[in-house]
Amino acid sequence: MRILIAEDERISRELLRRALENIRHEVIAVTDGLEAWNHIVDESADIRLVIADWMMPGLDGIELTRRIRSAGFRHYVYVIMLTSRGQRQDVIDGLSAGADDYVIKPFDPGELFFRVRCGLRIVDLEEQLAARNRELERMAMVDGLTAIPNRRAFDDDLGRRILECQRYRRPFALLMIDIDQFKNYNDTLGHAAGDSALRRIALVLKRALRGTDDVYRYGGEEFACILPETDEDGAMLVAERLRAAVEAEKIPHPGTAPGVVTVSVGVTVHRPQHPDSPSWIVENADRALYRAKRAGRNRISGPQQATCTGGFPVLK
Amino acid sequence: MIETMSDCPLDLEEALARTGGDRQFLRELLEMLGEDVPQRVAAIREAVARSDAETVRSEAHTLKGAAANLAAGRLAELSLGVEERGRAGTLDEVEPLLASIEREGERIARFARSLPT
Repeated sequence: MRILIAEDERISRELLRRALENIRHEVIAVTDGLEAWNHIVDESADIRLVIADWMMPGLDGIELTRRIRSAGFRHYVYVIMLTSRGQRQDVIDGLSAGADDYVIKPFDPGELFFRVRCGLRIVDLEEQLAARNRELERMAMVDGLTAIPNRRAFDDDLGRRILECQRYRRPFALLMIDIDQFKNYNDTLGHAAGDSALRRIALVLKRALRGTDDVYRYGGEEFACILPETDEDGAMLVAERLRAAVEAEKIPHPGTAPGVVTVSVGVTVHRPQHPDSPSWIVENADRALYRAKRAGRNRISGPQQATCTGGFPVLK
Repeated sequence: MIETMSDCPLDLEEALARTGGDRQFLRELLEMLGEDVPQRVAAIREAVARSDAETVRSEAHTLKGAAANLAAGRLAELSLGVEERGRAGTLDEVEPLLASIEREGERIARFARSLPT
């Protein structure tokens, strides 16, 4: 983090530089507003606090402050204006342009120290707040139990995939995955075991997918996968691999025929000529999933009403 | 030649407070001020010659600030006089003040050279 001094009068500039360096701040000192602006927009310069003289060639302090406030930087830039004694109107203009504080020249190093410290406190608080907001934003997109993207992330991504599909004229596939007899699993083995099974299945699905595919926790015991650039054949292969991977995990389940946790998978493929509605796509995948369930669970069902199990497609 | 306190063109105690007690640094700044005075005076003279009152005002304002920073009271006062005349547009009254400012600048430069570090 650096402090920028913009002051065209060199004695005042050197005094400021010395006062700030004495209190161990890294300082960049420039002589006009445009040069100041060039440093401020340069993210690698990492300038969070600006001390700007009010009268400067190029860009004066007011205009500089206005630019900083309307730029929408990722970080807050705290602005202290420098003004001469008795320039009350300058102070009012400066504060109304968005300056945070002002220092009257000739300044007292002790006073400057506290004003800078106060400014840095605000900069620091803003930074903590921004970091926390970023973390919350991330958390809002991640399922707390399984640590994979959640329903909100799914809705966002599906919307984006639909737009991409139209724009690039490329299909994508959507899989809806439901754990078989999961209510029974919870009722028999308890919710802690249920949570643990959900976590394991999320991991299994993630591992069985290709690098470009995404898996989401859609709801209670439902997962969804978006497979970009994938047609029916590819989607059925991936679906079957997921189904087989869950079965091979051999999580004991007293309520299913094979005695282990299994999933049913519904497959749909979206093409540019299809309606661009997310709910239409999800309903198609749900219908396929329902067919897989009705056909006896632990199987996958594709868009052409084909079901298959163990890698052998069966036409209904 | 060592200047006596009565010849001192600035409030030394105050000026040292501004530089955090650093005499060498104060000396450098006073030398800068001594160099700046003739340049500002030349700029003001040119502005007077073309009746540019705004430049007279702003140059004098800057010089006043520089002087005030180093607690050079007399130079700040003289500069304020020029600044006010620039604002009022009474540029015919500026020249006598400029002559005093030049002398004050020389005095500051001499003082800087004599300042023990």
